[in-house]
Amino acid sequence: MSDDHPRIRFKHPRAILCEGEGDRSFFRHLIDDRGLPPFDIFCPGKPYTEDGAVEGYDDMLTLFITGDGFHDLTGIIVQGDNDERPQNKFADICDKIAAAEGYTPPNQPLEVVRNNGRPPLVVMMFPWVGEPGALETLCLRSAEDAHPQIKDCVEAHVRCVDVSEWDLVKQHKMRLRCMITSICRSDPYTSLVHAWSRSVELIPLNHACFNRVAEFLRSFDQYIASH
Amino acid sequence: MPHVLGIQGLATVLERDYLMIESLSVKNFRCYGSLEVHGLKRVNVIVGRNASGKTTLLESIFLAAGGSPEIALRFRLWRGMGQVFQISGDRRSFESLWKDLFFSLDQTKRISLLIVGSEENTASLEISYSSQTVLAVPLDSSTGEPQLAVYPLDFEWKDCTGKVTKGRIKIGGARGLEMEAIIDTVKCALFAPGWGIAAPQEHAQRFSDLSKMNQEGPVIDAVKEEFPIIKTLSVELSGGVGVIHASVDFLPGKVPVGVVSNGVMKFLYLLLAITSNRKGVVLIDEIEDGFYYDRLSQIWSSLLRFCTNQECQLFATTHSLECLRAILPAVEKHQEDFSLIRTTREDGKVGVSVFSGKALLSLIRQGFDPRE
Repeated sequence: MSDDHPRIRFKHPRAILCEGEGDRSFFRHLIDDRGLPPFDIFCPGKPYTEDGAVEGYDDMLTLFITGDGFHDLTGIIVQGDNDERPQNKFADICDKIAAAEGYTPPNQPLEVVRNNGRPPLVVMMFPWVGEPGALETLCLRSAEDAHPQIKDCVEAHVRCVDVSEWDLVKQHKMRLRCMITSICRSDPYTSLVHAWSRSVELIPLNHACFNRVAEFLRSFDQYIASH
Repeated sequence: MPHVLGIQGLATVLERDYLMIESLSVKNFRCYGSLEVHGLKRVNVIVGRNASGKTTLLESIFLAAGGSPEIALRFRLWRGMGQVFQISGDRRSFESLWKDLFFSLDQTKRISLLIVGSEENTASLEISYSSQTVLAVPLDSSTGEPQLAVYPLDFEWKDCTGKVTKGRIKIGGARGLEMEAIIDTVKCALFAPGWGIAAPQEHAQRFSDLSKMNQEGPVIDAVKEEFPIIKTLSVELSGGVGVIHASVDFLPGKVPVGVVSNGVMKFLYLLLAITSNRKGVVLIDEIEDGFYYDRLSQIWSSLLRFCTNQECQLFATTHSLECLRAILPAVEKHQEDFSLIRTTREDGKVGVSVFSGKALLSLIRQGFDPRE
């Protein structure tokens, strides 16, 4: 629970519902960096569960209805990480959408669903449709290309501690954490929330790995209109 | 010659098969020019800033539910204008009593209130000024002098069967101010801050009525469970009138329940109102008033349980975020029984939005403020 969210107020005609504060920060900085159309970005306030943060998606989509400007929304993006099994994670998100008041879920990622009295809704999975991974998968690619010397050290560390049995996404997260810790002298414990607020460029947002996400956001209005 | 009227009593009406108010329509009443409210549930929590129409919503239900034109006068007490007023025979004097009932103070427009219940149960009320104000010239029995009687306001209730009952407020004549017609539409009780203290004998009457039917047990049990210092409750005479007394473990004798605690008294009075208004409506302004914060969750749960058992509907306003967050356990178990009604005033215009129990639950669970 957080007192940081006294009310829902949509300032823009588009909204993103994402898993956590790290994702929120990513979207905010990506939009700023690339001059994308503005979105209101929300994430559940509940503590994350072992199963991921989609736990509060039904609540968030339901309480969107109570927000100022809800009826002016032209579209909502529900973002999720594919993790190890893209189909399963997409199905989890759809279950949450179905549990929200007045929404029906899409059959596949990037499908536009329209419900009476609700804005059009799209599910966007990270790193992209059908690809195992998470936001950290994308961030890792960017960080490794920007800091190749650190990447080699991290790889040595990864071999040393042997995480080969770990899930793929856990390995990506571990590598990204090691990268950030090794680069960011001012705060080695910097989280994704603050990763784009440091003087050193940890995860450049102009990396090509973010292009698909950025282009989707850029053309979101047309995408909704044409689907 | 000024006249004085004492205001006492809450409306109660005949029991009938009334399940629940599902929608409300208000026209030209106080701050509402035109208002439609749908999606009402067993427990309706009303939030909103000052002067956004929360209390007026309760008043509109209370008026439409019926009773007597006297209800319109009782609002004066609720709105802090006291129990006593003076009127004289001139039109400006008596119009000042009711002018604020009319939207934009425009008394030429008819007030129209409609509550629509489950299974098409409806009740409505229309209030307007009589086109013909001087209707009678009776003789004053004491002096033999002719007296003018003025009928300023017409009340026209319609119940679910379509039966129309007309009532009027009469000013003048031998008895000063008279109320015509006391009718029965929907059982309804109203609690505003301070009202419980104003009419303790009414609550004692309710308790006594239950006791005579051996039905006071659940109320006493709920009060004891919530406030363990209470050992038992009974109606005793105090100053010649019946007042509910409590036996507590730290005093050798019984004392009026209000002496023990305002919170205990309020909780008791609420349960009594729900129990004695089976299939009716209980309206509560500022429900949190008088309750310690750690009691609120259990109080919500108890009120819901009593309302469900009695098929009674609750409308409660609150300004308290603490009170709203305390509702979470009850809403989690019974979200279909709750609605959130948010009143707003923007650019001078009032509005009402109704959200589901699920939306209320989601707002609280995710740390948002349901009031905003």
